[in-house]
Amino acid sequence: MKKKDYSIKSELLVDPGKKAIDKFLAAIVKSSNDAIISLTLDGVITSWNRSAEKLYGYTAKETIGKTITLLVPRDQFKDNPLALKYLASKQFRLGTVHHFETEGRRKNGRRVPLLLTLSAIRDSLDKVIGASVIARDITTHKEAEAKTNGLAEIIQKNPEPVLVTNREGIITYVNSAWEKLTGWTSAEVVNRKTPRILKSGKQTTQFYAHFWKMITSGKTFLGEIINRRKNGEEYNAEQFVMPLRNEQEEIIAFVEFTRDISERKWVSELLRKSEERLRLLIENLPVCVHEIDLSGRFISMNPSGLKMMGVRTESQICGTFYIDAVSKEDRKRIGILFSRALAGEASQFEFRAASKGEPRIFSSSFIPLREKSGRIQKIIGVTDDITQRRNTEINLAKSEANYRSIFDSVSDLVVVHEIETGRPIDINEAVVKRFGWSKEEYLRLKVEDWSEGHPPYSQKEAFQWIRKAATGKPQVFDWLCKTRKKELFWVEVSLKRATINGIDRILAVVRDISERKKAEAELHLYRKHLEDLIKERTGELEESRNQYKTIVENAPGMVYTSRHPHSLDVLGKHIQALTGYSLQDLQRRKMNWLDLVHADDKKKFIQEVRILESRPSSLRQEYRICKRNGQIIWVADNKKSVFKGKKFLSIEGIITNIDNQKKAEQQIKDQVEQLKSLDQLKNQFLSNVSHELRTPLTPIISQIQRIMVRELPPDEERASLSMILKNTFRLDKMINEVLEISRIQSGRMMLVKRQTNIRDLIGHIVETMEPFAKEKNSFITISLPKIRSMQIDPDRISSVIINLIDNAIKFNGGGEILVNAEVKKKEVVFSIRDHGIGIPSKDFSKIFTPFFRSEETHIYRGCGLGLSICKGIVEAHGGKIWFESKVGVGSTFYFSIPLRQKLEKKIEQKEMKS
Amino acid sequence: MNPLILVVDDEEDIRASVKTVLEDEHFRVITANEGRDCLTKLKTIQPDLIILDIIMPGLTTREILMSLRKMKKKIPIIFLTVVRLAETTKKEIIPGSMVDYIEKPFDNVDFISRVKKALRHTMLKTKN
Repeated sequence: MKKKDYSIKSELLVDPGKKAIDKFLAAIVKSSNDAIISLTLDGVITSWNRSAEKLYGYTAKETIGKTITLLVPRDQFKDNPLALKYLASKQFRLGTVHHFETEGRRKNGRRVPLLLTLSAIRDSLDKVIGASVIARDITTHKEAEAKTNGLAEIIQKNPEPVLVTNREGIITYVNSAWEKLTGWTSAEVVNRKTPRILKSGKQTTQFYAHFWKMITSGKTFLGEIINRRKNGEEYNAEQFVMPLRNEQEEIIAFVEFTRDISERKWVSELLRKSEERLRLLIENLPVCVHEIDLSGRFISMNPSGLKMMGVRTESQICGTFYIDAVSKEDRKRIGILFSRALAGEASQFEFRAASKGEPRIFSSSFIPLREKSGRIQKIIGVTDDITQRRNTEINLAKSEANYRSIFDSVSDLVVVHEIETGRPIDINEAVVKRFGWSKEEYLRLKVEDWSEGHPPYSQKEAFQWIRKAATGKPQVFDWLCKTRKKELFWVEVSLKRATINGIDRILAVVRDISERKKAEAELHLYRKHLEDLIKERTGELEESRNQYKTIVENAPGMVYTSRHPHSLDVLGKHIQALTGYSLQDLQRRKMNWLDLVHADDKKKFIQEVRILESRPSSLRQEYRICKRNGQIIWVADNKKSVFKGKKFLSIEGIITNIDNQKKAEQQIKDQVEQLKSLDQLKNQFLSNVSHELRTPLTPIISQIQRIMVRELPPDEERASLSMILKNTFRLDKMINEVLEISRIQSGRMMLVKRQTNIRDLIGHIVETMEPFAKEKNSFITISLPKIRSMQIDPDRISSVIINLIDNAIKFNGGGEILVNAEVKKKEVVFSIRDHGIGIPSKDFSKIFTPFFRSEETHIYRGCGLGLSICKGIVEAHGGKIWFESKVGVGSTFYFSIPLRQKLEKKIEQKEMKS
Repeated sequence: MNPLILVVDDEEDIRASVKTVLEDEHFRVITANEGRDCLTKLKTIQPDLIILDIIMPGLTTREILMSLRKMKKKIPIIFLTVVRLAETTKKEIIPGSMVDYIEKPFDNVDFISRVKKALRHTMLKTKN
């Protein structure tokens, strides 16, 4: 079909009748967006349209008449340009239209990717006379293709980490492999600057500067770099960085391919290190270590080897043959060994060195070294100079010949014995000198002659020693010898089986140790002396300790030492006696002395002992301690602190029980206090008594004076006398009270008991008291028990009742006063109730104290003795007295008298008798 | 008219005895048995001298003296005490109010002379 189309076209070209169409066509060609060029079959340009001009930069004038090669990049010149090839091809002539991509060359030299369509131009005879070329610029297309196919695909599918940055180094893309390698996600890194994220700090800033300069200048970078993962781990990476250009050849981005080589790095590092170790080892070995190639030449040698070979540098020895170092005599033997080594057989050997001076002997070895494949690569050898060692051995062998001279020249005494008989057969000069016998004389002597002579220094013992030595075990022992002059001296004998001139002998090396023995003896003496001294000193110590112990045990208190003021290390057994705790008890309970100190005394104790630690001082403390049984006792603690220089060492002290003393003191104190208060009471008493006595005395004195001075009318005189009499009785009553209370207080009150009818007693009292009550607008009511009589002191019980009723009248302020007596259990309880002012609770405890008068009642006359006398009387009867009271409501005084008073009876009987 | 003396003492016998001793010397005597009684009586009478027991039930000496001051009565006072003036009783006495004090029991002659002396003292004062 295509063929047909083009044939129509060419018909149009040749047909003159269709010139209008030609013109029309030419206009299309001219205005077409594609460059349309027509060529001759030789490739000469015959037409050139506008678009062609645009595409290539040449005008029609510049191109028409020239060959198409003008438009082909120079590097395609070698072979004919594609277009020319096609023009010459058979297919073209047969009418094939060629579409192909190629590159064109612009006027400015730049290349341009093109899509060319080449079709034949035929004449009327259908003969191909030329070609038309339609060229389309495909740069944009190519770029897109590169982006999609080239970049994206490569990047995305690359199993190796890829990172893309823009010109400024801002990350624009990373692939998943990169994410995996670094731990960063794409979202985290995109739009961030690379080095910030990846810099490990292992590379210098110069490195980065160089790196950056290199890639921005358009070069690629390939190298190793140490970077950092997100978690801070470093990784070795091989990086390939490549700039990416746009159509204007400007760098628009960088692509970075990374290969993690951390592991590879680590392994090679390890290998390098082990190699390094081996190298060091070889270099420092005191023997020659060398490598020989398969031809027998040295490849390497360590410093010790170079020294041995007498050369300075390795280069002097490398390349020379191993065999050249071997003396001519040994070369054949060594050559055989070398050829065996080449066959894989290791060997060790000695050889004489080929040297001009002193003959030298080397010990050496061949160790074949194989490659992985098993092929022998080289021979390693270790060579040592053993000349000296050999010489020593040779000398040793020779030395036997010098036996005699050595034998005689040694300073030690040497005796050679026959092994079988033990008989001496040879002695050296030293023996002759020391013993004083000639050699001949000596050899004839018996052991006894030159020894102390008695066991264990006789012939028998000497032979035993020799027999033991004959077994091959060297014997060393001390021997007491005797010289020709009968001088005794000590030696140390060393017996040894030895081969002398090929015969087995016993060799005795005798060393004079008389000096040593002397020293030993002295040492022994000294040691003995020392022991004696120690014994003596120990004795002294023991004695002083016993003394101390005796003192401690018999001390009047607990002796102690302590390193801290709050604790003590008690000596002796006193602690248990004092505290009830044994030392073990205290230790078990982790108690120190302070724990025993009474809580109230602790603060003072701690405060006072402070001084002891601060400077040498002594202190006496008295305080209480709590014994194990809870008893609290007083102790005296006399102590002093011991210092060594300025350093506090300890406290030494003695604690004594002063409880009895303290208690006695306390008793005395208490007694003094009691006496003091008694004295105060007495003073109060006197003051009260004198006051109270003076009151009745006032009218007595005044009235007596009146009667004496004046002549009073008879009735006035009688009134005066009656006033005197009344106050005299009052005075008498007061004096009796004072006497009574003093009797009660001194315990000298005597009861005169008799069977008394209580009803009568109370009735009588109330009868006498009623007028006084009436005076105060009070009245007395009585409630009496059925009981008729009981054993009491009626006068004293009366005075109790009178006193209580009197008080009731005084304080009642009008109204009823109830006097009651009733039998309760085994006693009679009397009570006198008033509706008076009452007693304030603060006075409750003092109400029965002698001379006590409440502030509220002191205005009422009285000594303050009434109630205390009542109490004394009631208690003397074995009863009790008490009261109930409420201020403003009134008071009730009770007293009880037991019905049976057994104890009292006895006293009573005694009293009656007396 | 003979001077009027108010005797205040809670002890009936002392009151009576003092009254007789003073009346023997022709003084007019009124008695009161305690402070309140004394103050009541002072509303109606104007004594020339008050003889006041220092310790009595009821009002304290100080209270009596304060009341006297309120009543603007400037009457000389002789205190009767049983013993020497103790510190506690001294505090009871407002300074300037006391003319003299007499201890019980007393000698009648001494007592009368002190009374007369006190009366003279006040009379001189009032004349001036």
